[in-house]
Amino acid sequence: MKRDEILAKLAAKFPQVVFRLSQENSDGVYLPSGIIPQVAEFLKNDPELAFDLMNYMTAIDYISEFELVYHFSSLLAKHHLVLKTQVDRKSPQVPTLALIYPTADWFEREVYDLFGVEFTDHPDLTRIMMPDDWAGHPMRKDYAHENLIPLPTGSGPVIADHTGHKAD
Amino acid sequence: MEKNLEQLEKHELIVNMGPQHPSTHGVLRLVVTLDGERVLNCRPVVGYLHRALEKIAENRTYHQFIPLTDRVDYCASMNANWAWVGAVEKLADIQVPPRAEYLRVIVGELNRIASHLVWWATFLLDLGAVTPFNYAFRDREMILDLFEMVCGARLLYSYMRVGGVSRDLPDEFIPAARNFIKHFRKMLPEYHALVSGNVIFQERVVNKGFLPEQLALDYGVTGPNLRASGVDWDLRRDEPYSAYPQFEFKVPVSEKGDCMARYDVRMIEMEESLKIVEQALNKLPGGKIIADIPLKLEVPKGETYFRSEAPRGEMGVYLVSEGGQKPYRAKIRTGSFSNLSVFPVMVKGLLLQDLVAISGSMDFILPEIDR
Repeated sequence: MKRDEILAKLAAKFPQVVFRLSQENSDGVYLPSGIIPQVAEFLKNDPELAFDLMNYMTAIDYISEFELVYHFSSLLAKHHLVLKTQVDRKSPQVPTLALIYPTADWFEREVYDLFGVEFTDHPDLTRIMMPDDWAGHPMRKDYAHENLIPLPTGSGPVIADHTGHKAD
Repeated sequence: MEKNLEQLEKHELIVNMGPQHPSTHGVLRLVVTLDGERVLNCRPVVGYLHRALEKIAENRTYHQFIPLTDRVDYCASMNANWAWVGAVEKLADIQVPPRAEYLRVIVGELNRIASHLVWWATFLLDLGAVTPFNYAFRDREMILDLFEMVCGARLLYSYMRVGGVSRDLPDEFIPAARNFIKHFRKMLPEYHALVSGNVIFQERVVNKGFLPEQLALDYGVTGPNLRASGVDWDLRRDEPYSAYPQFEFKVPVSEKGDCMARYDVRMIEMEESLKIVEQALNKLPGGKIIADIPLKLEVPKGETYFRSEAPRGEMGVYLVSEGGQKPYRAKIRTGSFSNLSVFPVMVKGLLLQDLVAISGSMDFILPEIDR
């Protein structure tokens, strides 16, 4: 199925929801965060859509808000769908998908750990990569840590010869 | 104290397997709750190898990040390189010369064999068989020699570049590769004679550690583990990239889903990889090995997901560019991450010795999980 056909099917099933296409050079479909579990359940169980695999989910920090990206694919029907949702950066909360696609469990833990997005009703929302007592969420763009030293900025790369002298 | 007493009465024992344990293949910690030898619960604790590669990627140019992709999966660096450069090429719309695609297939498939040999060796080592390790590493050595010829490195290759590969094959490569194929074709039956029919081995793996098809899909399991659960799915054939449409190969599938099925699938995959390498060597086209791309590569605004069939499942890179020389966000999706997440479900109620056999048969690699 093409993306447009999938979208038409979604729009027919969820008439009250606005599915918005993202801008150029991207095939994501935006939808409100609250509806994601219902949409995912439909994607998985509808025999024509048959999205049997959730490849991954992740987050992007756009400073003004977080964008969550869910990538689904169907091995049976050989098609893809990328769902996206934007959440407020101050108190990011999204319902979990772990009960529908159990693989989301770990992916959501990673996003919780590294971005600080909270997944409501998640069975085990704990840090996965960082130590349990870590403060802050390292993948945020404004994350600061005493050991994190920014790269020097300049007009171009510094070129040194084998003796370490900088070339002009 | 009270809790401990309660646990003693219930005969429950919590054992930390790892992070330094010989059969966890890297720094994986399994917190196992046992009743006698029976596993009541298992909780994998990961993150010991977390190097924040995705964070580092945001501060490196697309070229600069290539050496770090080696560290994503050090047993199959070529395939990890490939996922990264493939994503950049897809986003920047770069055409790779045919010769470069063939070279990628050759090294990618050789690396698949090398990676499966490490799996074969360590899996059997976990089950108490020491000799196969020597066989596998002897033959893997020949592949490492081949890689040393093409790029000078034996473990972390950084061979691929955005738009192609870093250097052409030296003259001695093709005869040496043919020699390896000939040698390894002879060795595979020997592997089977040594291990596959062995009764002690069979007792440990046949009908042990079932992974049903639906459970595998629900947990996002991919690669040989998924094929061993009866799903006929291989990205090289079903969503072809690079030069794969030009080769003939079979995709082994097993319906059983036990440890033996995962073993069989990988053993056949090695044979099929040999066939692909042989065809690629026979049909190797001439021409350039890298496209003309600027050193200061600017990638247009946009995003993409490129996925490839790595030895441990689907390895994909989700790349977001806001324009410029650096990615805005890079997410590396690896096979082992999802493959490990299903592990606690698989081992519940089994014996501790089965847990070791299952973890060996699933072929986890930790740097790929933690990144």
